Amino acid sequence: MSLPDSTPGGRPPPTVDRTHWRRGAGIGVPVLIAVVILAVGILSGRVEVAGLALPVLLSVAWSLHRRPDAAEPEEGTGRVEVTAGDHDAGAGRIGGRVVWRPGPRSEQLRVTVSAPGHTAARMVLGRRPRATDPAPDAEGGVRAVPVSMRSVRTGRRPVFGVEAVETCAGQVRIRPAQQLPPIAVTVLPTARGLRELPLPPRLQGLTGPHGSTRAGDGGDLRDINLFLPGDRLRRIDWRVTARHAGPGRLTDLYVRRTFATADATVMLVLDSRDEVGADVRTWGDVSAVREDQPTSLDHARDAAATVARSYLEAGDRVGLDDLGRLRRPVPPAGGRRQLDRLRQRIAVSEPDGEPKQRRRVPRLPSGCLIVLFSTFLDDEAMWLAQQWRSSGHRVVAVDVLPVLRLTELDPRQRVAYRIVAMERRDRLAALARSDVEVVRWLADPADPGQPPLDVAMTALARRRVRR
Amino acid sequence: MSGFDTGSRPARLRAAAHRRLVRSRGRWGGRFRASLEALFSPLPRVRTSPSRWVPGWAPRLLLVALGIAVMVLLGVGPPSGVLLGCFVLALLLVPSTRTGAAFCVPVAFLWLVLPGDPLSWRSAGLLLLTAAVFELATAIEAVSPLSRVELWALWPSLRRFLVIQLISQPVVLALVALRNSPAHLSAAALPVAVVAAAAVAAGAAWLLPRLGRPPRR
Repeated sequence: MSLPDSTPGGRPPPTVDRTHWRRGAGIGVPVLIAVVILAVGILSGRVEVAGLALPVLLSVAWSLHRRPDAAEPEEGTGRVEVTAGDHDAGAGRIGGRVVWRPGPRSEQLRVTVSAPGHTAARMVLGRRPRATDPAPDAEGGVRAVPVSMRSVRTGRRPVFGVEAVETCAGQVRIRPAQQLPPIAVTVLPTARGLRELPLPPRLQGLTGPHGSTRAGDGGDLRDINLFLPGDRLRRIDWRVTARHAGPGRLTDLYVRRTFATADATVMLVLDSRDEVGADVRTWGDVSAVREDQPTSLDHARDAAATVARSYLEAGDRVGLDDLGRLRRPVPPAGGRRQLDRLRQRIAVSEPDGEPKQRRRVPRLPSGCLIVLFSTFLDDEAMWLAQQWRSSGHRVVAVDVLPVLRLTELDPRQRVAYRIVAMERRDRLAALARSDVEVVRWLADPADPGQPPLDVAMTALARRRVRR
Repeated sequence: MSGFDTGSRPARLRAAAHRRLVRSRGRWGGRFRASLEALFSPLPRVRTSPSRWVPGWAPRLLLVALGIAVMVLLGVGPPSGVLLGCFVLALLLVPSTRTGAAFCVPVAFLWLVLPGDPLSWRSAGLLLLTAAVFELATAIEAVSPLSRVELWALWPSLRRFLVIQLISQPVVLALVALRNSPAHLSAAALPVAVVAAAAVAAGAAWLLPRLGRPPRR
């Protein structure tokens, strides 16, 4: 699913007068050639050879007669628009439409549709004599041609830049090229479900899907106790009471006490300060990551949306904080609307210039479970996770680094990557020593002993955590 | 005297050249790797779905086929065939109004020098094929061979070609027949032919704008 943004990406195109036609293909050379052939044919007495010039001259005459007057403007026609918004997550494609409103004299439209990370596609559209498109008009029909691009990336994506040239009268007249900058759409991350999830050490609230350790309204039996002021009458266990009563007289009342239920508060912390792709060569420069290769931030978005959906479907409350932006986090809440809100906020998280150094640890709700999504390519995410853990939070660190491609590295890049990888491994080891639970979002082929994500989360769910 | 051994000037130059070579090798190696990557893992292409389209190279191949048909009709030998082949190659590479008109020049020249019956299917075929080459080259001017061309985009050119053929074929046939007729007949028929040609021209002048005019709102 994707949402079209109201503002197009990039700079608005310069204003060009497209209401008037301009001179296109030259007709001087064909006319000159035809006149020469005509003269040679007549002078040599070969009328059939001179006849070769006749179709050329007639064609030029047709085009000249058919050409629109350059001083005659055609308002409201010849416009090309592009729309986007259809996203098929299963096929990994973003769709859109190129819409052409041909003028009364338009014959062809040459369109070049470009997209970031894609080879541009060109097409030549013709003006139909009858309206056969879904949205026809009286001038031959509005043409709407579907276009699509393949992308596994999420977030705010620029798509479908269009350059179009309209011609008429056998190319004798053209309109100035219309250039539309790529429009921006927000591709929401995909959220799938997880079976079991870890819980914070302390549950909050008076109701919820999880069993609490304190007594209250719930289903699981906690103990049998004497009736005390405040106990409800319907909780009296008459069998136990009768068993403890003397013959012929009732002395004490006993009640069945149950464990209370509660919900968990989960804070998702998304580290959007950096975005790296699977190709390590693109880490050190401004090379664009291919559209068919998800980046670390794409994985982080998918992971955060998945975890959010799983907790919210279980009835818990989920909030969100973004390490890349110094702004107020999304407060924890539950429900379907909260999931939509979180997905929207997760989708628009992206690196924004040089990240500012945090001077203090972000304050999160007490007793909550913190799920941190990061690549751990620097110390800040590790430091924050350790600080949260030391303050009593249960912290789950989700490593979202993509499966890397190292085969194309030259020796210098390989050495640089090995240094970065060793530092990162040290950080993950330090997190594990600090009792921060580390799971990896993607299965790493280089580490066959690593459990799948579902299994890792289930293992974390069954682990008892001390505060 | 400095305490550092910086080496002699030739040694320093050799070292600088070596560093430059290493850098250059790295740069060329990088370009080679990039070319290999572009070859083996090309960028995905934006998918467009126009209705009833043909690939952009198909009209170009049709141009070549028409050019070869012209060569066959003319019955050219190897040297003339090479000359016409060069023009066909130019049509294939840069189809435009100019190359389409330029193709008529060698055809007219070879038609002049090669023997043949003016009143034959060959003449009509040459007139038809040469006009088709000109119209098609005009229609696909500046159209990339990798683009998708809707058949509707070729319809105006096809309509123009058909109408012009309907006019030019009878006119040329009549003129050739008039020229080949006996002298006393041609003298008598000359005014008739002039009137007929003027009538055809007037009819064409009346018909062409109406056929080319866009539909009324």
